[in-house]
Amino acid sequence: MTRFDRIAEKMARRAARSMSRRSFFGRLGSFATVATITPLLPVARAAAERAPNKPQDGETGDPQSCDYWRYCAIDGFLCSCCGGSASSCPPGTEPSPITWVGTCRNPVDGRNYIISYNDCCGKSACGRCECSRNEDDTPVYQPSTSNDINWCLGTQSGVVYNCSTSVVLGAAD
Amino acid sequence: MPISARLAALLLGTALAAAPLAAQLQPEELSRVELKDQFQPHWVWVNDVSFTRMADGRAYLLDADSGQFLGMVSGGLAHGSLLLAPDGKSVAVPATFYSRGSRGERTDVVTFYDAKTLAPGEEVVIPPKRFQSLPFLSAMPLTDDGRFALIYNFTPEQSVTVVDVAQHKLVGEYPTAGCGLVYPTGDRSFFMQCADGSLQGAAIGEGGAVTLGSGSPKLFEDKDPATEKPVRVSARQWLFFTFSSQAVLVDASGKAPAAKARWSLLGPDDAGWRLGGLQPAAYHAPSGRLYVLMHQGGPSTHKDPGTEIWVFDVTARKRIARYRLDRPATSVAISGDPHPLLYTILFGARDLAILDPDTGRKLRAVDGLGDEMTVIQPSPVAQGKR
Repeated sequence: MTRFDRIAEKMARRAARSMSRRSFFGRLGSFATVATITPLLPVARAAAERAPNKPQDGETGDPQSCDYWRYCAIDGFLCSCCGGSASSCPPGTEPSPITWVGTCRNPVDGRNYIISYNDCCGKSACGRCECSRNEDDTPVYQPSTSNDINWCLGTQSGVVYNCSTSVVLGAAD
Repeated sequence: MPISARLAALLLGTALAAAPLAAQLQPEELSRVELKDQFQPHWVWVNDVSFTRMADGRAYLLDADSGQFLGMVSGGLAHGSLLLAPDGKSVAVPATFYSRGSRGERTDVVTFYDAKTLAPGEEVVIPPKRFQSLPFLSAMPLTDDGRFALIYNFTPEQSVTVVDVAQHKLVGEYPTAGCGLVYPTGDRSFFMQCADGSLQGAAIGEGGAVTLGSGSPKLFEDKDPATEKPVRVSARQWLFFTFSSQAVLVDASGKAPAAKARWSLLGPDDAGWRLGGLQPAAYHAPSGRLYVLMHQGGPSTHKDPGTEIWVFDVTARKRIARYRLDRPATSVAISGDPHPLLYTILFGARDLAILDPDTGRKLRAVDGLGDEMTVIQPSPVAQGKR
């Protein structure tokens, strides 16, 4: 269980404890009150969605297009077209903890950034928006900068590859 | 009876009356095809990694003379290359499967098929660490005598699994830190490519145990690395290609692998051209000719398809022909017999093109194959029962 899972679980338990069934029914008379209470219920919390991460303010381009600046060394299906985004895995897939990195130039500020191409794993290939760009890609015997390797190998769910992300790790210069 | 129905009955009657009396069709018995017991010189295997449905990798067996589809094997997840026995009578298929298709318990296994039935036979379960990537011929070759399978692992710890093919049993797993892929240099030796640009020699004991030997000094510069797609030009020599299209002859007959010669595929008028693709070169030993996929492109285009095939005399280090391809190609291979056929595929296209190696002219194509075909493996048999 991750740290975030533990925090979420603690918050849900606290919300349940703080509100007895009687006090809940007692508040039913007021729609406005129920509306405020509802988001604290565990069921309602589960219904809240978590949207894919969006591009940052300091960048331009279409993350569903292979031309997007972060994809300079990518090879695979774009998670942006598969229910995720350039920095989010699609629902039900598992991000690979280890991966290869590339260096791409952001056209907005002209700076080079280290991009981590984490794979999302555990479901069969998404099959959409296949994109193969090989800037500074190296042979597979130099694995940390090679994009021909299936990086799902470090996950709990196994090596079944779904799509690729492009996460900004930081400025390269 | 409506007019149209009467008309139809009349026409049917006329047709029946005009048809010659044929014998009544007999009930049939469903049979199953068996092939020759040895892969023929112009039979060729083509890998389909099924990139969009990766648990369903496969390889197709085709007769390049007739263009006939002969059969196939199913290879599971990220299906790689086949281990074709040197006598052409069997094939071993290393594969990865999950117990629930795309999830569950992972099992890596080498399954043995005979050429005649192409049916799965005995199998050997191996450590679930097989290198997962686009297929490379150097990821899991056989020793020259076909006795041992050498399977490269990446978890990302690097090692080699050895399988005794003759006895159908696992020998063991041997760490190869810093080095990957396997290039056989005889019955009991091979070398590997290391991240620092050197090559690592290795020996195999009679029982199959691997012992790492001497490593070479750095042979390849970081800014111009060697691809993982060399061709073998003799028992102990491999010809590597760098990203900038330099050819480097590596000889493993000494204590450690050594670079014996370096030359460029590019002549003075060839600036802007580059070797590229998934399987960019093929060597025909009887003629000493090298066939290379070339395209025009910059430094990051080392996997781009070739628009031309350049033909070289390797001994003379001289280009002797260039063929413009009518469709680009990501892989090229050639049969090993004295009257060879040249094969190309394009990742994303569904056909195998069969060319005349002397002219580059397309003789025929086998189409309707998979969308994500990667490596071509010609029959290991150069002289067969025709």
